[in-house]
Amino acid sequence: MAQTIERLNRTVPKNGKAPTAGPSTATVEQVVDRRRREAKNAKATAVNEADRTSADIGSPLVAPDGTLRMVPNMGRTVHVVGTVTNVDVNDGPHPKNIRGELGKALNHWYTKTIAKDPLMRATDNSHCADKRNFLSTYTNAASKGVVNEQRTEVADPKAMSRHIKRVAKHFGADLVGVAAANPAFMYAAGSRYVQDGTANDKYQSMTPDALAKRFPYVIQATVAWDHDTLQAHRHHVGDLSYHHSSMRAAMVIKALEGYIKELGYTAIRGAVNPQGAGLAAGLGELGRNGMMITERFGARVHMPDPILTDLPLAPDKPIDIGVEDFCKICRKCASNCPTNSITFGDKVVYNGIEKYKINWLTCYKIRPFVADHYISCLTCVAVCPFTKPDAWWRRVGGKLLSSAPIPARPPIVRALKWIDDKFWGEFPKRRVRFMGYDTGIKPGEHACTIAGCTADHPNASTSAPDPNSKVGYYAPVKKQTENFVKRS
Amino acid sequence: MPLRLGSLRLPWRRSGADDDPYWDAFINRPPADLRNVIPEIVGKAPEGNVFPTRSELHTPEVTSSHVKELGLYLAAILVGVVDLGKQDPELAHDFPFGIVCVVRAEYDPYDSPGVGGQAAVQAGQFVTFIMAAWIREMGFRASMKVETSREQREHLAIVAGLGARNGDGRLKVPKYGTKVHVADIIFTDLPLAADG
Repeated sequence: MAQTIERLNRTVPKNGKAPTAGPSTATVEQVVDRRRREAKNAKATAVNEADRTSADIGSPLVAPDGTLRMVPNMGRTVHVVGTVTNVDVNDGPHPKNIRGELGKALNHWYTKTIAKDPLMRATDNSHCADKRNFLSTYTNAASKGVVNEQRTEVADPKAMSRHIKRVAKHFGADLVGVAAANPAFMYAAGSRYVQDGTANDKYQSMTPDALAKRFPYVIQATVAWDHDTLQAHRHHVGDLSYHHSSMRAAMVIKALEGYIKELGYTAIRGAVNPQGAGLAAGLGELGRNGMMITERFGARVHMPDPILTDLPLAPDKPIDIGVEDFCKICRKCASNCPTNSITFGDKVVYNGIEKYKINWLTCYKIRPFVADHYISCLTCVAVCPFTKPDAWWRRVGGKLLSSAPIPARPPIVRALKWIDDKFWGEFPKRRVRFMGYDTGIKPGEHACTIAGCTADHPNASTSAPDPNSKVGYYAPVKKQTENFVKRS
Repeated sequence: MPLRLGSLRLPWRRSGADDDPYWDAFINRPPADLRNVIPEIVGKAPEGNVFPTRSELHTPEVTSSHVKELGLYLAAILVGVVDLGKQDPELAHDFPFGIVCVVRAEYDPYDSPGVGGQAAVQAGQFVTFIMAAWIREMGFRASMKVETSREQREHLAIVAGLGARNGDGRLKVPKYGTKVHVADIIFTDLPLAADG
């Protein structure tokens, strides 16, 4: 196999810090053309190649000269087109913020504020009053058992793949996929991301290439957010939708990790980018909003930290559900984004990867200013036309798009977008009532809108809004954030 | 289950269990290391503090409805409230109310010691842990650490009007029959309206 693409042939320093990712110098057209030729000629996956290679000539995925032998196939929406520098997980928004690199306001918000709302205190790890009241404190620390010495022999990796998917769904996962491990979507050496803060195993310092060789498979199991509560984006009710799926996903993936150890195989986490793994595993495609968009749930899926394992499995393939065609035309997430963090423009090449790039910093920076109303914005997820209930009419629309030939898709997209705008609104703001929360009450006001409640509410600052109104109010409104981040 | 038309079995629909040689061990083989099993870890988790400031409440009836709404949202199939004042004081442990959450159990966790057999316990813990944490964050006591036997939990579920005993003495609920698991009871002093 000589399917190569340029890759930094660099020595990983002892502290594991990777060079800062930067834009590639390769032109998109040149590299995409070459990638297409390479993909056409590639007849074996990297994993099969590893099986066939008798002499150790370096990693089966990365040649001794540092070139990638097999560029990961992540579908139509994301292409590796240049040099990929593995990202240090400590360069992510939360670690940067905890170190104080994003300013005092953000740091204070993240590390020192307690949510005013009791449901948020019980479901959000960074704003709870007592970590012991947060479930994932314990689930994230779970699965510290040893690998079972009595290994279950796997005669048929396809059967084991089916089993693992069934197991994950038995634990509560909604979508499960398996990808062949590839260094291109792994974190930099020595920067394992483990939510309880420790990765004290012998694999901690392994390079992405070595990890992909040692653990050829990645399992990604996702949990969908509840659609109805998600409609209250930019509200604590929407937060619950997000946090609930986050906690459930942590429980599912940890249970799965423990089960793989019980089967006698190693399972490690914190080494793989969830989106890269999800794309390669065929769970969905990457949207303009930077979120994984799936066939059944749209963008409302929580992507937990995937499992990297040596359990013999059969990898899945990327899917084409028409996200590439839809996002080119739709731009609904970009229009609705309160911080103008989503581009209206085309894809860009960043760190050797061609994709839609969001401005994570402006997305992140708004949070301290809206902490009284919500924690996670979610607007780009809630308004996405793919994010709908998993109903027959949605599946019909999806099939119509994904089964059409690519040149015929733009008119279908325009028709589906028109239907979406008509029925769900161009700027959706539905009124959601859940557990006494009511988004019909304007932000900053207090009222009890529960029929039959006779309790005295001394903090009520306003009379109850019209019970028949279907309009929800969400902070902040777009015109307020135009002052915060100007549209370029 | 395979698709059947009378005695005919359609060949293109195979049973998941028939097709899965590892499933039985998943359900029935006890784990070699309990630290690999989520219910073991969450079950031993200490309880957090009660938030010092109490949240503003609605009437007990409305609060009960919110408790149930949250329970169902977290994937319980039935949620009920029991007035523990009418129960044996040894069971009540000085708490006025008990919240009973019932989850679906494809396999009885008492008969299926495997990792998969304990999935219902895990699902129950997910509901009760978050609900108890929410109550504590509202400024009220909520504990799942009171030891209760399966019989006591099922008794409280029946008292809450969630189901009835079948001929074998097991809890049977509408729609799901006996394929249910009663999660740990939440003992609380949150003002609620009891069912049953």
